[in-house]
Amino acid sequence: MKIMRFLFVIAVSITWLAGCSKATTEDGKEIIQVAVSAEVNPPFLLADENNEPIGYDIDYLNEVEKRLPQYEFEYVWGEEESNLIGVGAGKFDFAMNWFFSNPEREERFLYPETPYGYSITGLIVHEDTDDIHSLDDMTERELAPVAASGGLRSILNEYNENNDPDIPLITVGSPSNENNLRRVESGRSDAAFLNITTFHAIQEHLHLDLKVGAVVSREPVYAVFHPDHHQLAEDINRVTEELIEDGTLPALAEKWFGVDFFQDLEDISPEDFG
Amino acid sequence: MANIDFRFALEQVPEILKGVPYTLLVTLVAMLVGLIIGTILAFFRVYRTPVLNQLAILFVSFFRGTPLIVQLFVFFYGLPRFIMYLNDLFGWNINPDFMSPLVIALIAYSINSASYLTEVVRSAILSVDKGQLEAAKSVGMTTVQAMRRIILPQAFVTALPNLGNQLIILLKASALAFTIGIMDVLGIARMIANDGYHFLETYLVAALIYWLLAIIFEMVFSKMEQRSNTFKGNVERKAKAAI
Amino acid sequence: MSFGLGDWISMIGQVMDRLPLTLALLFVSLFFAIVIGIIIAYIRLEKIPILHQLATIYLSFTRSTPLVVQLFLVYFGIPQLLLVFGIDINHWSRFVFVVITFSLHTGAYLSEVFRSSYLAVGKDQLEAAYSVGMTYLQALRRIMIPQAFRVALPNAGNHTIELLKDTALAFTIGMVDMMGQVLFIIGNNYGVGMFEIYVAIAIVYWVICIVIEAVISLIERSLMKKHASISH
Repeated sequence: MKIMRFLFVIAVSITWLAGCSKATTEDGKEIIQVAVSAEVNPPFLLADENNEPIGYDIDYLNEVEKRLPQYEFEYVWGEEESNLIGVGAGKFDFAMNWFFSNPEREERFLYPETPYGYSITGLIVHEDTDDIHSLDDMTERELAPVAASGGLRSILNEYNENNDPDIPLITVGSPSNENNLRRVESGRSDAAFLNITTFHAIQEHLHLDLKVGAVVSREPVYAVFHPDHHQLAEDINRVTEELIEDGTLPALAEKWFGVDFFQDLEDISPEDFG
Repeated sequence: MANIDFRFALEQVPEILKGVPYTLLVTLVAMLVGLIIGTILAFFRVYRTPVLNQLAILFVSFFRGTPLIVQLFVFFYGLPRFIMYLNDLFGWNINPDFMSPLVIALIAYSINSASYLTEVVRSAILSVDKGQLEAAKSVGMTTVQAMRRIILPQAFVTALPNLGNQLIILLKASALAFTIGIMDVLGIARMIANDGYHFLETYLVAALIYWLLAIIFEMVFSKMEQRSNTFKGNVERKAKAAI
Repeated sequence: MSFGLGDWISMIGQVMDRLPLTLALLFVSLFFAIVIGIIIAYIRLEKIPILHQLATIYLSFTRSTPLVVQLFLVYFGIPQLLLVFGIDINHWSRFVFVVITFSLHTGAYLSEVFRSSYLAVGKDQLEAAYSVGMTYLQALRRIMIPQAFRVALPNAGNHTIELLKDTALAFTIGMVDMMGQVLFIIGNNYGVGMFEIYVAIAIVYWVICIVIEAVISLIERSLMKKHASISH
């Protein structure tokens, strides 16, 4: 019982104070701690040769910073789970990665209204496969291993909750995209579920006999905020809307992804990529 | 604003407990198989069997000197690749995926724990006075008999505390099995957390479960130590009587 | 694979650039772990009331729960705890939090190593030292510690190697050590070549580990000689 009490004290203490320390720079700007995901995911987010974060995410945040002179962003690497714990604990002001939204998550964290981009997810199949056109076609087939956490997993979980029969899933901690694609090419798996831009980028290295069998969804992606940071989230949300309207973000999307994902999904076909 | 959702944490306890069988399976199988392999290797080391002794040294050094997560990945991605390579080479037709992730995890953990247990068993054998072996032989026992009746029982008693430590280290290490898809305690904890980003809650529940399991292991071992101390007295008496 | 030799050399170079950080984490944590280990061992040996019970809980907790949970508690929990008292350490470098976690973790193991090696030397020797008029501190310095050190060395060496491998966890909170650099390379390459890179990093850790083992056995041997010369 002693043990329980000890852990309880620690837990309660963490609960007690969601401290939001307001540090400022010398010229009076508020320093915002931004946790960026160490599980890099180019071209959204990757590390340059000095291990500084770059990518679509960072270009977007730089544009935001320009238009919000009251803030200065400070980037902190960390693995995604750690970052989310940190945002919850108030150590970071928001976490940046291609976070997908769902009602359960919105209960816990503050999501801005407007997504800063989209992740276009799809099923990658062998070039000779002609009978996989949506997730429905996967219930009788083998999908390459998927991660236990992350946005892609959530899409599959949601599908399995709302549909019968389920898509059988094989879970691994951190699936290797390369390995998964090779599985599909060699016929060990029937399809791999991933971000289509990621697929095309890998294809530039590997040139496997694969193609996009189906575009599954155009998933809005967000940064997630500490629940008390309404002002910050609103400010960033306002600027994001401006950036989409004046064409800045669509241009960035073209730059990093080669496609403007702010169009409707119907207007985007597998052929638009690469 | 509450950062820890205690109700959620409490609600998830039964779900996370479902990972306990897998955690125990990996831990106990790795301990048992590791102990068997470790004992064999320890004999190569103690008797300085040519070639095998050097191979055992290399084996122990490699598996203790590299991070477990790397070993898991190498087995997980390497084994199927190796089978495909064999298929190509010999025209075989083995399914590269015939081993489930669980089997691969059991192999990887057994080999990893064997490297640690080799040293535990070796130092335990060495701790038994050499004179005893000679004495046993002098009364006509073969080496195998002497080992089984005189040396190993005593070595086991010496090794017990270290075996207990290794078991707890293995218990914690088993949490990495999740990286290749085993739904053990930490694996389930992370999966549940994902939908609502409740990582802190489920991690704390998982930590408590590991702690409890470790306490149970410790109690079992301290019981065994108490009993073996009586047993040790008996063995020593018997050994003396035999001599 | 789609990697040429040049790519490999530059990759290994990138990873080796992070070696100093890995070693810094190792040695700084090891130093504090030894200090903590000695203090805890002393508390447990002398059975100091209250502290003794606290130390037992601390040992049980650190030895039985996954290290990553401990890292989260230190990195996110302690700053929140101190904020209650108006102390803000959130701006401290992550290095500090990582070192605190690893020191507490390894310190728990080392305290058991120290305690058992002290007990192995035996109380008789302490009494013998008293009988020739030594004070407690003298007896410790001249009789107990040199012998206990020799007994403790192999196990302490093992825990040093464990600590080396544990440092790879620092990347969880974003410290780019060798393992972190490896994961960045894999991530930047979309997972291409993951298997080969893992094999390569395994060899790097192995080499460091062999060096540590060699140093330990060197110390052991020199101690043996000293010991022999004393007993003659």
